[in-house]
This record gives sequence, C-alpha cells and structure tokens, in this order.
Amino acid sequence: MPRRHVILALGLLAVTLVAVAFACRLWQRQQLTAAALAGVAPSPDVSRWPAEFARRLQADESAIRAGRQPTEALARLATLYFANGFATEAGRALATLRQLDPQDARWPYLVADLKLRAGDNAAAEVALREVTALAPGYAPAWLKLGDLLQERSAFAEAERCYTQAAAATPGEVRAAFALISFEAFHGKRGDPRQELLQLVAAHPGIKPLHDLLAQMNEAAGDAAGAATQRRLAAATPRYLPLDDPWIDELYMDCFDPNRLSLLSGKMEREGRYEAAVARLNRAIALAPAEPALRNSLAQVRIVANQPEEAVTVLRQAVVDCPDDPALRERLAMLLRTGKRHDEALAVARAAVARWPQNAAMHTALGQALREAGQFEPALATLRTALELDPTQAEAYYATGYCLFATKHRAEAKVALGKALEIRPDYAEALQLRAALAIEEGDVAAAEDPINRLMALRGGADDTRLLYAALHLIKGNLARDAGQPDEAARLYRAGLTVFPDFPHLLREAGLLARQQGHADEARRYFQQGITAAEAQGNAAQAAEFRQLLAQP
Amino acid sequence: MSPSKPQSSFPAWLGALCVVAVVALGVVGYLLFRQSATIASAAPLVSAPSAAKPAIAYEPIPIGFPVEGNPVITHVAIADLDQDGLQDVLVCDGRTDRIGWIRQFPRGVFTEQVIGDPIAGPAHVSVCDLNGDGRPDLLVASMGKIMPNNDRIGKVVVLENLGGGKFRTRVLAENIARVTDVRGVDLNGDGRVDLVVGQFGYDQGEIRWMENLGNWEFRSHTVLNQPGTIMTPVADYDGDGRPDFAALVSQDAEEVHLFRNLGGGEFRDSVLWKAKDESWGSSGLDVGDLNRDGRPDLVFSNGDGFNVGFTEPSPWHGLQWLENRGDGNFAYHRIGDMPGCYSPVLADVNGDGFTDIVAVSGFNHVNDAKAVWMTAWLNDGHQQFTPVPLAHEPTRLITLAAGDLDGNGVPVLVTGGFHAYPLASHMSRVTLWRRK
Repeated sequence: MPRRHVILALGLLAVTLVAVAFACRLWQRQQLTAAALAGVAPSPDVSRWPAEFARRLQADESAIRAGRQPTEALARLATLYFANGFATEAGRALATLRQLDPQDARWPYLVADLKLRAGDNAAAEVALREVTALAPGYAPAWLKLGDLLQERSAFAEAERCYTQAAAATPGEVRAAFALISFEAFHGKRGDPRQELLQLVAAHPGIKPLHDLLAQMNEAAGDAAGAATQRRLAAATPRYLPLDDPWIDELYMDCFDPNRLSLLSGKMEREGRYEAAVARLNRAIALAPAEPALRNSLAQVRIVANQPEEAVTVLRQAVVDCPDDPALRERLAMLLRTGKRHDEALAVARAAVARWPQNAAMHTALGQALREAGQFEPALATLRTALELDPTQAEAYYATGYCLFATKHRAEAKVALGKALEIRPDYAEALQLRAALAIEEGDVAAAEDPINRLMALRGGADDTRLLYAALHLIKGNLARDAGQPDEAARLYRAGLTVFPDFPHLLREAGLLARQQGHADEARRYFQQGITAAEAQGNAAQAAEFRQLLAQP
Repeated sequence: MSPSKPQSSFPAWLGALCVVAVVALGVVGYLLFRQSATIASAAPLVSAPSAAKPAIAYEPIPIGFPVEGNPVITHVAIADLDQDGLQDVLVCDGRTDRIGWIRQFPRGVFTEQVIGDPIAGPAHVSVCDLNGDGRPDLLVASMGKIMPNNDRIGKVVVLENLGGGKFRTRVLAENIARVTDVRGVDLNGDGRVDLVVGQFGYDQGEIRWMENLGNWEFRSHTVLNQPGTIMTPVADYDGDGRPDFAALVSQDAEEVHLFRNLGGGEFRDSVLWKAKDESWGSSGLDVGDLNRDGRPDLVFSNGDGFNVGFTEPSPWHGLQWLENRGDGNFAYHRIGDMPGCYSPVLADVNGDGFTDIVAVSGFNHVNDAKAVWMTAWLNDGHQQFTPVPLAHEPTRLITLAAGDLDGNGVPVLVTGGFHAYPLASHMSRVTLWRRK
C-alpha cells in the first residue's frame, strides 16, 4: 500500500474520530441545554427592577441557551428568581433542576419553601421528604417536615423528624425546643420539663421557651413558677432562631428592598442582629431614599443595645431623607433617652418648625422638654400636640409626668388614665400611676397597674420595687387591723419578688418576733444586714444589727 | 512492452473513509448550526404585554365630593340607605375621618353628603337594621388610625338611621384594638342582630362577636386572639342553616379562618388555608358561589404593600379562591398573578351567566401608563379565568364594590382611591364604572 494512502487513511480516521467525539459532546451538550431550557420560564417584566438584576437574569439565560454549563446557569437563575419572590419562574427552574441535578437537596428544599409559602402543604411534604433522604444532616428540613406532619396529626413520624433535627444540630436551641415541645404535648418518653428547664437556663430570654415552661409549670401545679415564666416571656420579644443557610445565603441575590426589610425584621425577632443589619444595609444600598429602611436599621441597633450606632444611623438618615418627619421624631427620642438633652431639643425644635401641623413632632418636643426638666414649656407643647391629635398615648403620658412633677397630682392622674386607656400596656405610664398611688398609700389604685406591670416586665427592678412596696403597705394595713397572719403572708409575698427590700425585711422581722417566731425574725434581720452591706449602706446594716441584738 | 492497465491511485476503502469523515464533519456542522439557532431563538427578556382586545370595557365617572388633597378612601359599599328603590354608595373617608353617603336620586344622579359625627380612621362600613326599626343603620369599623399602630384606639360605631337623612352616632365598643370590619347578623338565633368584629390591631388584635342584648347593650365574646384581621364575611359556609363567618388574618399569620357556628353562641375555629410567608400581603376576601354549586366559596387577594412604606407591587401578588366542598372542607386554587391586588368582588360582569371576579390594585407602578389598576377575571364556566384589564387609571385603588346601581341587572362598579403614599398621580376619590 502506498505510503501516502496510509497517511491519508490515518488522517481521515483521525478527522472522523475527532468529529465523532466532537459531535457526541455537542449532542450531549445540546441535550443538556434543551433540558435546561425547559426550566426557563417566559421572562417576567423586570424593567423597573435594578439593572443589575436584569443583567444577571439575561446573562444566566444566555448561558443556558449557549450551553455554557447550562445546569449551573439554571441553578443561578433559579436562586435569583427565588430570592426575589418570582415564585412561578423559580418553581419552573427548580423543577428542572430536580431532574438535571437529582442529588442536590437544595432544589427540592427551595421547592418546598415555595410550596409552603403558597399554602400547598401536600407538595411541600413530598419535597421535604426528598430533601431529608438526600441530606439527612440538614436540620431545617427535618423541622419543617416535622411541623407539617404534626399539623396533620402524623405524630409518630413527626417525632422522628424532630429527633433527627435535634441529632443533626446538637446544642442548637431551635431543634431541641421542637423536640421538647413535641414531647410535652404528644410524646411518651423522657421528662420534657426537666429538659426544658436546662434549655431555658442555657438560652434565656427566648419567648417561646418561657411560654412553654409556663404551661408546663402550670400543668405540674407550680403556679409561682408559671407566673415567673410568663413574666419572662412577656419581657422578651425574641423568638427562636432558625439558621437556614440554604435560604439565608440567598439574600445577596435579592434586589427587592421590601423583601430584604421583611427578612431583616424576622432576623431581628430571632436575635440575629448582624444578619438583620446586613440585609438592611443591602436594602438601603438598593433604595437609599427610603426612610423606613433607615428607621428599621436604627430599630435593630436599639434592640441590639447599640444606641450610639442607632444615633449614627438616624443622623445620616435625616441627611439622606430630609423630608421624613418620623426619622426626626425617632432621633429626638433616642437622644433624649440617652440624656443628650440639648441635641434632642435641637432636633425636635427643628422638626416642629418644619412640620408645625404634625402632632407627633410636638409630642417629640414635649417629651424632650420633659426629659430636660422643662416642665412648663413641655406642658404647653404637649397641649398643642393633643389638640392636633387627641389619640396620642405618649402625649398624655408626658403630660401626666409633667403635671406630677409640678405637683398637680389630680390632673396627672387624669392624663395618665387617658394614656392607659389608649395603651393599656404602656409600662412607663403604669409605673408612674402606681408610684403615685403608692405615695398616697392608695392600695386599691396601685394594685391594678402593679399587677399589669408584673405581667409586662416583672423582672425589672423598678417593677419589683413597686410590688414590694405595695405588699409592705398591704401588710402594714393587715397588721394594724389585727390580722398578723395575713400581714406575714403579704410580707412574704413581697419578699419573694424582692428579697432584699429593707423595709419589708424590717417589718417582717418585727412581726415574726412579735408572733414568737424568733428564728424567723433572726433570718430576716440577718438578711437585712447582708443586703445593707452589699449595698454599702452602713447605717441600715447597723439598724438591722441592733434589731438582731434585741431579745 | 504492452501498455499496462492503469493502477488505481485511490482505493475504494479510502473513498469510503473519506465519505465517513465528510459525514462526521457534516454532523458536527449540523449540530453547530442547531446550537447557534438555539442561541438566536432566545426570547426577549421582557415579554411584551398582551395586545388582545379586551372582551369588556368600563367607563369611569367620578362621583361624590371632588378630589381635595390626597384622597384616602378606605372602603366603599353599595346599599339603598334611604329605601327609595335606588342603590346609593357609602364611603369611608380616611382623610377627613367621615362617612360619606353618595345618594342616588333621581336615577343616575349622585350627590354626596357627610353623615354622623367624625369617626377616626373609618375602615369599613356595612348596612343592617340593628335595632329592628325597619331602617337600615350603618356599622362602621373605626381603626383610630389607618397606619400601623398598636394602641387601643379602635371603636365599633353605629350610625343609627333616624330617618329623613338623620343619623345618631352610637359607640358600641371603644378603647379596643383597631377595628377593620363589622358585620351584622343574628348569630345565636335569638332574633336580634349580633355583630362580627374583626380587629387588626397591630401586635395585638382579635376577632370578637358582640351579642346583642337589646337596648343597645352588647356583650363581647372573643373568638380569636391574634392580630391582623382584615375582613370577616358572613355566610352559612357549612350549610347547617346557621350563619358562620370567615376571616382573612394577615400580619404574622397570613391565614384564612372559618368560624363554624355550633349554635348557642359557640364557634369552632379552623384554619382553611395558610401561607407560611410573612410577606404574602393578604389584602381582601369576598364570599360568593363562584362555581354555582350552591355553596359559598371564598375569593381572596394578596397585594398589600404596607409593610415598610414601599409602594411597589411584588411578583407573588395575586388572586385565589377556596372552593367550598361542603362540611367545612375547602380546596385552594390560584387564579392568577396581579400586582398589588386588592378587594376582589364577585359579579357576572360580562353577562354570560358565570360568576367573574373583579379586583383592583392598590400598589403598582404609578408613573407607568401601562400599569393596570383594575382587572376583570372572566370565568369560562369551568373556573378558568382570563384577566381583562379594565383601567390604567386612576391609580391606587384599594376598595371596590359591585352592584346594580342602574337597576338594569348590569353590575356597576365603584372604586375608592387610597393615596396615602408618595408619587401621587391620576388620583381619584370615588369613581363609578359603567360597562360600555
């Protein structure tokens, strides 16, 4: 065979093989592209969305059409739609991804989230079952599946889900709580109350934990324990945190400030402050002129106990959004509660000058004047505020405060009464109303606001003090009425809430001695000495020593 | 030397190999062509709006007081208040805190007058003869303030119809969480009209029914301790002859509840549907027999944009219905997407004998002439709905009512403009819409 034929043959063979290989690859790619294209929904109108969002949609869609890693491009497209609330488009892309990339549990997980949002629990359950099979270590999927199963009374399966969630995230409060909560209502094993006590000790200040413990204490006949837990629940706005990375991480793909703001609110309630701030900062970057976002950011900083950062946020906000009165009001409030009276007054005065018909601005100025101790001008300003809008609880409270401070007690009571009519849970107004009543020895008038305060924020020192003072007065009245046992009971009740209240310790000790309970009296006086010494009150300690020394 | 037979310089097998190579290259070429065609066939990113000619059209006619400032109409209702045989329009005006009566007299002439005392944040008005004197009274839900507020500034107010166009204001409940709906119906079968009261509140809200004890005395019974109630339509949902009520509960929940009347003033609450999405934006609920099976269905919308003061619509806004399958069982159906969807009402707007739905938009693109602010969802008789745009202006409509205002059996629509947010354009107060 001629050599040139051999060379030609080998060349043709090589060309053929390369062409076949190339064609196979092209064919495969085209099959994949066609499959991925099935997941691309007709493009929605995004002309009013940020250009970057439209550009990214375009880029991903083009990549799919060009067959450039179409599965990856479809995944980006799906998450982009998902993160921005385009449920129809996201749903279609995710359905295709479940076929193209069946081992990735994120796709059915996102599908489940979409279904849950639209109230389609049956479809969500199917998707979540798939997720838990693919990624048994992902606790949020177990928790959501458990909740769904519990809702439809499939308790045995739900219990298994919660157990799996707790096992997947040992030490994490959400999963542990879900299991304990389930056991408390439907379970048949263990001692959920003990477990909950441990969980509360490890994670104090989470509302659902205290709420559940209150119920369990009540069921166990522990009324005092239940009341304590209810007070703690009322005192905290914090909900259970749920770290859900597969969804949480998508916020960087979100171009909707409204959605970001809602996400941040959820995270704030869960105590995930930095995550909330990150979302709000992104939202502000997208909508820099929107004052509500600045207000939300300041709110997160306040809740996170970062008042200086909150002031910084609001200072910048009033520059960037000069036409929003609420921001000025908030800034004035923050400055006055931070005792920066001159700054607060300056901000509030400027706001009143700018919006003279806005009742809230007058109230803000009245509050700033009140806080600065300028009660007469405050009263004049608050009068204007209430003429403009007579439904402002704050204005009534501030009026009551100023009237009290200027010795107009009867008028102060009326104003506080109005504030509490509008806002029955107004803690500051309740406190002032109770203090007024205590000062006057009016037990009947003090009782209701103090009870309400105890329910609202029973752990606060000022509330405990009022409670103890009320019980001191009631105890003294009972003692003077010749009911020593009742008096002793009332003193004890006061000391349960405020064990170091010296007046109660003194009276309780004296009464105990009078009743012939020498040991008990000694304990009270001893406790009085310890408390006085701890507070550095030498004179009081000396008085208790003297009482202790008396026969 | 004899001439030799010429030797083949190109063997057949080599020719075949050439053909194979050419075919392979051809296949590659074809596949490349197909790929480029796929890329070229990409649809435009922004789909063009449908150019289909609308099957029906409505003509807007402003009625009542003229636009002054930014109108904040929170609710409109249709009723024959003076019992002259002509349907009138009732208006909750959140800007002036007044209830307006747009009286129709004579037919086709509408004149507005303010009735009763000022009512802070009126959110809903309904009509019923509460005291049995034969004259329709007005039940008004007073929020105190329309914008978010957790204070107890809500009231249940009755404008007692004294006849002759005179009304006496009676406050039946006050210092309660903001009230968003009040409806009158005899719930306990004692012959007196009781009240169903929805209270949105904010962080705290509730649903109560107020038992009519006679002589304007009422006793409240709480049936739900949860904020966010928007509407509480009454009907006999379970077909047991006793009136029940449904509730659209927003805020933290986004749920549709059914309170089944067990008799004796007892109600059983069940959640018919729930969106596990706090940004869902529930916005309106209406009751009616959509599929003509004799059972009252529920149609509800999500399109609320109140969350943080933004006024843009969201992609998930839209319309859905809960099909009543009897005995308290309901099936969910999504009808379609509609930006900023609010206040769905049921009416046969094209006269084909099937119940259609009309809904308005409270939040849409104000400066976009193509934005649709009112849409009819035409029912093909099999509960498949085709959206037909009815209005590209006026903007920001959150309330809609339908009724036979012309007395010819053709539904007339009435809308209210809610312009509490910036970007006011093409504002309206109260608009009457007649079919062209």
